[in-house]
Amino acid sequence: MQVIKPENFISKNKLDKQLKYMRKQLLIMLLAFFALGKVFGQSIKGRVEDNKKEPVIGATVLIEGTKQGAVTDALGAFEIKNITPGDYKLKISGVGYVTTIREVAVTANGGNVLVSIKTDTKLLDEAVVVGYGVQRKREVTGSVGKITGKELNDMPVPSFESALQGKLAGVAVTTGSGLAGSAAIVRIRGVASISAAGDPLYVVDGIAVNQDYSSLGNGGGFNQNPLSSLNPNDIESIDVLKDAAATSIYGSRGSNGVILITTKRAKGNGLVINYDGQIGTSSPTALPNMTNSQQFLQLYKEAWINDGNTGNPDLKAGGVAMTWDQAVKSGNNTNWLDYTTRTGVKQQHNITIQKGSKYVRASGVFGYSTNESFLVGNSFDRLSGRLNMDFQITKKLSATLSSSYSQGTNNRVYSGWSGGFGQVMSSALPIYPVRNADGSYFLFQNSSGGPNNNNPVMIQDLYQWRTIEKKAINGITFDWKPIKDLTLKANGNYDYTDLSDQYFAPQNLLKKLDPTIGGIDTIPGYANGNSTYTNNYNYLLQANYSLDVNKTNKFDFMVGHEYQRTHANFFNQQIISSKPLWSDQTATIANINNNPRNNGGVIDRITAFLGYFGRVNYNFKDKVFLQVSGRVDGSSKFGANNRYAFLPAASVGYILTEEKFLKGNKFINFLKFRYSYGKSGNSAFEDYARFGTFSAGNNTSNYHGNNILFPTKLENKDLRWETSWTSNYAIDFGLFNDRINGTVEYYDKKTEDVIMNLTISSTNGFGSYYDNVGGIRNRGVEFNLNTKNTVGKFKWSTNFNIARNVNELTSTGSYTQDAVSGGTNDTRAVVGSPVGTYYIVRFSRVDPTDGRPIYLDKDGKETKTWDVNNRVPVGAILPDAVGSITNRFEYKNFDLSFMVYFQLGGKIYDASAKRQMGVTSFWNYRTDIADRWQKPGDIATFPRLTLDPKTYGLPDYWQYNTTMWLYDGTFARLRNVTIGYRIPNSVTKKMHIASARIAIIGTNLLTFTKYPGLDPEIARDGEGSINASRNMQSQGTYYLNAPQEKTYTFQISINF
Amino acid sequence: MKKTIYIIILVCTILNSSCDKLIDLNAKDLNLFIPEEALKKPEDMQALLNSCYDATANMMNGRFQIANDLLGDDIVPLLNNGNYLGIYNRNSNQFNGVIGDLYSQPYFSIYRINVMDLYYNQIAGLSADDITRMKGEGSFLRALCHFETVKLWAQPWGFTNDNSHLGIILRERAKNEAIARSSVSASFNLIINDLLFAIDNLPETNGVYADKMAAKALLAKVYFHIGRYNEALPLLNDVINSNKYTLSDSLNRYDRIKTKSEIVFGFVADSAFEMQRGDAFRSNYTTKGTAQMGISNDLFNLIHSDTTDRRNNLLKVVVKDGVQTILTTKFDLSTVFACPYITLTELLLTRAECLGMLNNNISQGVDDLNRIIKRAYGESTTRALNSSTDAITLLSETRLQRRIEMFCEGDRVQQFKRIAVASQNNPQEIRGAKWNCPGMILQFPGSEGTSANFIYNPTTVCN
Repeated sequence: MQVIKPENFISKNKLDKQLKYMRKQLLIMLLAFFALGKVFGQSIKGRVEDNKKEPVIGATVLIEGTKQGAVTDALGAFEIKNITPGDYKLKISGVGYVTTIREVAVTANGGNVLVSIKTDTKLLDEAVVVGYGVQRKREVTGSVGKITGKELNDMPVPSFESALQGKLAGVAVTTGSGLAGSAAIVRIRGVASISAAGDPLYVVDGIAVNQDYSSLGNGGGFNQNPLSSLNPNDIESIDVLKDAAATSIYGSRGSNGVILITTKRAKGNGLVINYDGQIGTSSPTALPNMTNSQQFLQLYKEAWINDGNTGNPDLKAGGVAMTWDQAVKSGNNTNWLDYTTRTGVKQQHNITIQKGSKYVRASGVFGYSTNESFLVGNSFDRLSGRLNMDFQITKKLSATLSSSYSQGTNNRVYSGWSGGFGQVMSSALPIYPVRNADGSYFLFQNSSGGPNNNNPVMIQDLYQWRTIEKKAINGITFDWKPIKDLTLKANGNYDYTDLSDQYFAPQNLLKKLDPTIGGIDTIPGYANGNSTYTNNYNYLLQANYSLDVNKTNKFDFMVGHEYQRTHANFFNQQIISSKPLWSDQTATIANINNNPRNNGGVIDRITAFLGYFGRVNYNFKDKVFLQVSGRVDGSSKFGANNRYAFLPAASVGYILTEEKFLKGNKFINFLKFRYSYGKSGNSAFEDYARFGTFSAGNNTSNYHGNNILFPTKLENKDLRWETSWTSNYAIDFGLFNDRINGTVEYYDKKTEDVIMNLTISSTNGFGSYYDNVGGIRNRGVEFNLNTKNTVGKFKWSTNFNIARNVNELTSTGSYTQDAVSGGTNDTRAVVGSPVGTYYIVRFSRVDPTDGRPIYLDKDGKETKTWDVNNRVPVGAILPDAVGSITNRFEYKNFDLSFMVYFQLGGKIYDASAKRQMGVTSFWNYRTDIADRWQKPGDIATFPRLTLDPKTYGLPDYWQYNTTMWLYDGTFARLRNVTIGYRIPNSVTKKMHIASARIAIIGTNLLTFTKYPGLDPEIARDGEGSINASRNMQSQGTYYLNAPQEKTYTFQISINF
Repeated sequence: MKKTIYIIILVCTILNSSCDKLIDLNAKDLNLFIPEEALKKPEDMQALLNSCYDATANMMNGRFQIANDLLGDDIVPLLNNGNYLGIYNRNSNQFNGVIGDLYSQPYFSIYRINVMDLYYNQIAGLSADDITRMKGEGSFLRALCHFETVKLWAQPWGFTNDNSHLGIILRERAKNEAIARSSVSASFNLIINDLLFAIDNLPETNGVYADKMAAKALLAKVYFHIGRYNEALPLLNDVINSNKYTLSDSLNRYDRIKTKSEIVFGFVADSAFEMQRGDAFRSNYTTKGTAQMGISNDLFNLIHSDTTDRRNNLLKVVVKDGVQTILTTKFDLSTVFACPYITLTELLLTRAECLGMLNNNISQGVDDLNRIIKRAYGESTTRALNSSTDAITLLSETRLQRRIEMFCEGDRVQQFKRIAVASQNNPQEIRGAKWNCPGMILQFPGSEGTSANFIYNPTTVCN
């Protein structure tokens, strides 16, 4: 405790004297200020625009020879105040523009100037956000890609990560399904993990955000998308770090690449208001081709007869919910698609308000969007607000505040394996009516013969389901420059997520499903909620020091430390209620705990993480760049024996065109070699995997009234970091004054101590546990090319990028391929093959004599028995290559762009087809079944129809995993077409607006593929756990998923 | 100089601003219930032991019994359930979900028992008597679990002359390690040794938990199963003649209120929650909802051929949509439900057969069997055997009554195999399959093949 000594007290007289003196000084200062105002009261106002007359935002305007200046705002406007009349030279510079000097005369009335600056085609001074800092592009030695907010904006997607598709080589994005709110799969340079997450780290304005896809499991056929709460319109730019030199500064979290998101901040002075609005439609890219009633009954009967039966089939025995006579007599022919699909309407509105002054700049973005999917009842609505403020407190001290809040409401419907639209493609038979004659819903039959909730219309009408996510990301940063060249930074952030999955089953639904529930007549319904509250804190201390030894030798040093702590509460609840929790404000945790139906309780999860890092950059003559970085990371996920990892990296960049022999070369204007080598880590897996745990069960767990206690998880005290060593070779080039420019890169990433959630012998008392086993290698080539095909009035530019990745599982230790599986027994971890390899029995042909399927055994010999021991690797989920080609045209005020995205290779396994066209059961057929064996001599794609799995040599109808359902995943898709028109200034002036642009945007308009299923782009749910199998099956394995959506959008953007 | 000082201060600040404590989150901080926290007191050990009974009860809640019966000829799957059909068609493989669930159940209990071994010496206040009793109960349950597992996943005793054919994985310690399958001979050696240990260490009475008589009865059952009738007999005599158990009038041993007196060992269901003890029985055989399993015509005709047989009351003929199905009401209990494991009924039938097989003291065998017959057909039934009955008749009638008495209890197919071995590979068949064909045992689940050297059962089907 501090003790105040008597001698430190100030006497009252002394205090009065000091106050008088201060008042006097203040008065003198104010008088001086007003007097000087007369002399220095003029200002230079102006606007900076580019050669397309578009405002240049964020350009620096300096009075040459002084430090007086301003930064242009969103309208390109600036104002330099307090200058005396006279002639001045203004130096205007901006990222991506040629620095321009402009003379201006300032009179007693001030000065006005309009400056047009040219785009710098070389782009060497473009600022690139790297880990914990910003570098000029020419200085970057790692592999970094950049996307501007405008590029994102041309792709109307509810969640920004989907808009990354095709933009950067090596960043493979499989967009989520047509389900509103579904998550895309983003993989940077392949897959390097099995059970740890394969997703990149997302950092928003320096804050590593919570990105747990598994927080709500995979209910309803997809995982929760943690990124959907971020409004794409908030984003200024995205930088993607790919290689070890770029990512290793993020240490343990950088193994799968890092995506740095910079949100919009105010630039310059003045008030700027922008409105961006979109309205559009959503429809499926494809619809299932299911049979109608007549076809279904005919096919069923054929199977019945084929099996040696006579008369009419016993539908009930096959699990169908009505008899043959009932089906025939009813005359039902229901097309369930008519009841479950629609044309969805999407709209979003965003208002950006920016205001700046010398000391304070503020930027606010407020957005509202509602995205209906093509599934009836399904939508994702988002309300978001962001406030970014910058304060120049003193000359040496500045601060930034970044604050955002959003609420996403996902109105959910069943899909995929869980029902709803999935039922339309499976057990919703055309012979079933939607409703019985008395108006009640027709009930399907479950595997036990009882009623189930598979009637998609009934569940859609009666069941209410919402996922509500409230998310706030707040950060404050202080930058202090105590001395020249030294910057100290202190940053604190708080990221809060309140995610609640709520559903309500009313009495009339419960009663239908299980009329035997005790007291059902007095229960109005059950309201359920599964909530996750996540508090994520972190702080960062960082220091940067620049040391220019001389003109040719420059150093930049950076050291830092950060700490992150995440505290999550999981809370499940169920109460008896007549309404869902979202409309029941009394359903608090307290009274839910007192409710007898409460079946959950609060579960806490805490993880903590700290890192110490440092980086040295050396610049020799602005042509050779060296970078060395190192980071020590510690994570609470590991025990004391393996808690820390040291993750170093080194890289070099060499600009050959700075050498005399190439300088000024007309053909090659830029040539740079880059090389990097470094180590990164991954610890994104189950929080408490290292602990063995016990449980006393719940309140009702006992044996003969006596307490029980039992182990629930095996411990592994030796769990350690999954680490990757990556080397990267790159050439950046610019030809013909950058009319052609691009990059070629080769990388080799070797991952060891791969964390796997291993299936172990049940005799151990548990089914699985986590261990560091084996290795994975990813090698690949990336090629990115930009060309300016025509310049002048008619501009045509092209971007082409392609990335080839070769993935190989190099070891699984002493475990077999079955230790890690994905999908429905279709993918396996096969050493020597890629992660997520299909490991199934090969189908050879249909025997023309009897119509039975012929398989191949392990040695390639034909057999009619399907044997699990004949499984072999037959292809993998990962594509051989992905890429895109984008063309942009500009003529006067019009612009047109279109992007074709393509995927080469990779296999799609249609796990639903094995039931739709396999053993006849209570599933509907697809019309593809027309190509089947019907009589001896038929050469057919599909075998004879049967109700008996033994006809196909199968143990049961589920186990029909064969290459019969395996397809080439190659496809090309017209991903985006944008036609834009910039309203002429002459018109906008009359409308009192600064500028305006309208555009029509189409997405997923055409798809070219040989895949006979719905859509070749498949982002499947994680089947319960992101960790267990997401990397093994997330792409390529199809099971009743909704297809992608096709959208048409009208967009208007207005600057006031 | 000023710069240097700033930099030095800065670096020191950063490096000292945090420490290992920030990320050293131990189990207590995280509110995790780790073994060291869970097992501290004697009552914790008792609670762990209770959970072994709980886990074994879940295993024997109908799951194992149904899997056994699906291989035989007493029941038929009624619905198009692929997993059950796989077993019924004797074509189960490692992806069969029912088998994966079944196989894991006994090893939950075995693991917990083995965990207890690690803690006996670490729990303060745990008396020597308690340790002896707990070890005895643990050995009893471990033997029960290994016994039920080896019956389903390994070819029976006698499949090879020296029983060196592959048995199951035997777990004698709680350690995550890959272990190869032991031979059937070794499997039964461990089971028998565990039961001998249990007999020596269990108390005479132990409430609803395993006691000395339960261990003797189980060992008798094991000896009987492997044809060591001479060794089974004295154990059977001990239990039956102890007069601790009396035959109930009720023919349904799952009705615990009525048949409590004859249960030597079983899994109880007293509270509302424990009503779920017989879940697999209840849900699969229910006559109140939609049953998954029906009774075969063969068994129905066998019982129905004698209308005086009161066990006809346990059958129900249902006609729905013109289709006739035969169900059993044995598991339709709405009150307390018991899953008896060894009852006096079974022991009497077992002793009768042992005596028949040994052709020794046939009159005792006849008396034992007549108690069962008279309960089923009435005291004055003409089906009762007379004292001059020979061993062959005693055997054939005992086997017939055993099939009827214990239908749907998972007994039939194991008796078929035992008898086939005893009759020296008499080529009799059960629902078209020979006793030793590959499909008459279950395939191991895929979890076992994750270890490189595991040997699966052959996948060839029986017919």
